[in-house]
Amino acid sequence: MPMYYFHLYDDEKIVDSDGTDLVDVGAAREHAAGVARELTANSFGFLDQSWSGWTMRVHDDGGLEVFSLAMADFRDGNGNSGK
Amino acid sequence: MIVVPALAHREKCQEPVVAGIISGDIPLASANMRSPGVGTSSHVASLPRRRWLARTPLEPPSPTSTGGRKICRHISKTHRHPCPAWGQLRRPILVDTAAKGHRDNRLLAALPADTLALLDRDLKQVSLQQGATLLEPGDQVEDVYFPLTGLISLLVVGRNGSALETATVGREGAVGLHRGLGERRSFTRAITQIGGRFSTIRAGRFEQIANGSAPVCDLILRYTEVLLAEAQQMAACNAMHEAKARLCRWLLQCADRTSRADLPLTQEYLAQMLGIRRTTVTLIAQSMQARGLIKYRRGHIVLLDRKGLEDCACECYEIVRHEKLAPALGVHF
Repeated sequence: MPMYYFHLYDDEKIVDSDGTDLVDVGAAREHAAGVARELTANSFGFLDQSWSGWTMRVHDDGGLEVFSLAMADFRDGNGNSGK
Repeated sequence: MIVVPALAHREKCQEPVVAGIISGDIPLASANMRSPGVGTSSHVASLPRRRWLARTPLEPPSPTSTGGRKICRHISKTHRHPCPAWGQLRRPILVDTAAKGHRDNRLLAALPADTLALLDRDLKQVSLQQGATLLEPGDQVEDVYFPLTGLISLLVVGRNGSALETATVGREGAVGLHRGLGERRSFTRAITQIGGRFSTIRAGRFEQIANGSAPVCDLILRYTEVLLAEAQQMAACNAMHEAKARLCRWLLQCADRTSRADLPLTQEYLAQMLGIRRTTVTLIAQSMQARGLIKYRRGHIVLLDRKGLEDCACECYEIVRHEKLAPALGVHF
């Protein structure tokens, strides 16, 4: 199965160093959406930046971008971070 | 490694020691310690083989070249050995490194001395590897575990096999304690999240002792109250708080309850505990590393900035800290 890497980009880059084995691009899209929902749930932002600035870029084994998605699209509207 | 004197009666009735199990009744203080002599390196080298077998696989034996004199100094400072003949002991026995005894567990330490003495005869110390399953849902509780250095996770298991952690039990608690009230089945899966040493007692024997001991029954009820409150808080936390805050809370809890800042945990494991994908854990861990909160490498997390982690954790961390939760409930151990 091909490996996909789910990096986060804003002004800085957070690297998915491990990647995930997935059957195809469709599975990678599903995985990306799941990760995006988990990261944004009950959350205002990431590394002091609101989610609106963050993009997830999904790369294949060769380092080529397969697709990207805007993290803000996955926010559930509940910004309770627990504080 | 520490050196304690052999007891005359133990030499006569030495029970077989299974690898990884340290007999529970090796006292650090005993009126029977009368043999003259000191624990020098040559004495260490000539120790009975069975004592080396008793050592835990997680904490391998120190080289025999360790100076006996240094060991004795360490003991006299840290353990305040009450035996007046300490400096004149001849036959040392090696006991597992930090095995100061069952009182490393806060629940056992909270018991009156005479009550703990009742349990002491049946308490054994065992070493358990990370990932060992102690109980599955529905299992009869046959042993009670009091963590000394390791950590146990209680997990609710879904029909599809997925499992989510609902409580962690370290040296502030115990697993299977309610078994002292009678035969019980486990509601959760219990696994060793971090390997280490545990005091353990057979459940039947624990029940017998609890039946005749008000302090033990009282301890069971108090701890059950605290654990219930913690589980309630964790249920709310899992639903209400963001993944990053939960991960910080979880790492701090692990560190507190094992007294270590270096946690042998894989991403897969963290993901399972928090009920999130491994990629999510990787991205959060990378972001925390970018801010200097942790140092992360495969299978290992080192907590670098405690204050930063506390700021990042949800309020649940402070609420379920065992120093705070019990008093907040009006429960005192």
